[in-house]
Amino acid sequence: MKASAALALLAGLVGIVVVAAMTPAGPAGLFSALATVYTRPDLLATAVLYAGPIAASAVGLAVAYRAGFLTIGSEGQVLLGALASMWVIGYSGLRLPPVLAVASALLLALVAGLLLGLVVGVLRAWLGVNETLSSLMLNYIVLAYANYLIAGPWRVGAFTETKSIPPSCSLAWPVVLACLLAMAVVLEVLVRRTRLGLAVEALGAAPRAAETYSLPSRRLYLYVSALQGATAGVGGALMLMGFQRVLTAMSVSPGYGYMGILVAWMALLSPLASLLASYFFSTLIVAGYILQSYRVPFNTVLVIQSIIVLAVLAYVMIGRRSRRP
Amino acid sequence: MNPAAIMLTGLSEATPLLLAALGEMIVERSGRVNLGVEGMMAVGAAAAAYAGVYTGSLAASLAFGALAACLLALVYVVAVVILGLDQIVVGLILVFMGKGLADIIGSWAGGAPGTPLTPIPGLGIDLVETASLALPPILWLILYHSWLGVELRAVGEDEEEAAARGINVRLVRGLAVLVGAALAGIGGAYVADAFHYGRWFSGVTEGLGWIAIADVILGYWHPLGVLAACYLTGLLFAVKPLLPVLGVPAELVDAAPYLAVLAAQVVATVICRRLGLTPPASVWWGELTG
Repeated sequence: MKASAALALLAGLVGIVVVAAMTPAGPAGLFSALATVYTRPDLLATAVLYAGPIAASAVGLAVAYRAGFLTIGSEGQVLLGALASMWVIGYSGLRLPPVLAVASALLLALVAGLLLGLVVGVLRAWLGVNETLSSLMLNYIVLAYANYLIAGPWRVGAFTETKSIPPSCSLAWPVVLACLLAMAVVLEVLVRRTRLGLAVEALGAAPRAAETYSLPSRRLYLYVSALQGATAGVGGALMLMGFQRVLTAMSVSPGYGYMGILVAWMALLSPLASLLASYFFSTLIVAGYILQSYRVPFNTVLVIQSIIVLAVLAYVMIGRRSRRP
Repeated sequence: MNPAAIMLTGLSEATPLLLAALGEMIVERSGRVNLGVEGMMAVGAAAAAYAGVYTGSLAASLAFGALAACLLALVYVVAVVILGLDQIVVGLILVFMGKGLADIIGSWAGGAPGTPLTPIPGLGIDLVETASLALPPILWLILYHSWLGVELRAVGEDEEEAAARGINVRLVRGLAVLVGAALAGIGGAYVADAFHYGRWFSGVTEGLGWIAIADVILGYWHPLGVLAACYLTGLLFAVKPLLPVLGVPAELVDAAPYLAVLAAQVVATVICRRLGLTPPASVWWGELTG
């Protein structure tokens, strides 16, 4: 069985080579772009910035998925968090000093994400509405609202875009890293060392049994949905102040929240491991930007990430099975 | 727009949803959920545009759309049906894989116009619309009045019992997933060919796959129910341009179809719970919310 587990990884590698061969850059171009990223300190620092919204989404999703709460609302929560930060910095009329502006942007993004997450949680806990679909619909609703703001009340200048946030409100990579580490450590401790973490685990493993042993499953769904939304909301602030700076009309959502879903599963639902996996995915994103100059569509990165996650999951699954007597 | 025109537009908007939703219904009746519909539709649209641009044949365009979606669904068949990985996770992975692959394949077509699908003269609806309208009754016959349908539902309701009766569970499920994928692929192809002159652009099928999955639930896993649900959501898209005139605030217009589907989902869930209805197939839906 060990051989077949290794086969899963090999199949993944073959898949990546095939996908790269479908693009103008080819496999060689892909690997050299990756080599460039990993040998240039400035690009490695940039990768921390891009990891912001991905990791922030993933750490919360990891906890939610442990509870069996299969939301995919992180995408909309990231976007709403970014809108909240943009409002604080650009449109609230408050003339806050930079440090205070950044802090309140982070806080408001957190609250916005939390509330949106809570909508999904309330619908699930009280009405039994399937969270995967409801959260997905909310993603599109937020996207439509963002586009309305960007094309309407928030529009400045000749293009369909908002104001840019001032350089004084940009976040450097150590700040982003500190935010991410704080969230990941807190959630990792919560998952591994607290009663709440244990309850979450039990609820995810056997929802009916959890009910039988009188776990407050409704309240648990509310907790994890709020927590998950809050971290993704912070991700939106990190996206805006880390690298995005200006919001333009979008036909498709930015996608960092969706990548967080892939990351959470790849990290086997550990918040701390999600941090590492996000960084790895983020270096792929930076490589993707290099490859764009070879006319490689940016979403090629998404295919490669998907293949990696699938290969890792298959590897783990086959490994677990073979260990069973 | 007069009411008749809106009804026709609604039908046309409903067609890709109907194809994809009927496909997903077949999958869910076999006892699995494939959340990758969004990805399969995206790949279908891109492959259809590419084939249309390079062959100039509408049939080839639709066939390639179906084929590409089936190839993507093979990942699901291997990972879920054969290896037994989590169906939800793999379905989500399929979405991202499909969107990315669609961008690669679509970039080969270079945004050139391909093979437009136009209404049959005098009838007002095109060939695929006509075929997709015939599909629900045919599926109803197959599901409830043929051995094939009985086998499919048996696998969905109780796979151990079905296996004991000599049904090859994996084979039935694998085929259901591939048929579902082919329909989603044609649905995607239809979006490119009928709405955009066979032209492809990134995000051309955005959101439709998810609405199709919602329509399967709203249609209560029944071919005729799914037809009704899809037509109603199609109408939502058709009346969208009229909403500002009707006094709907501008910030809600683009979100309106999604808000309506979300509301319908909430109402349907509550009604089903009150009536004690559970999903007919052994899908995750019942597992998680029951």
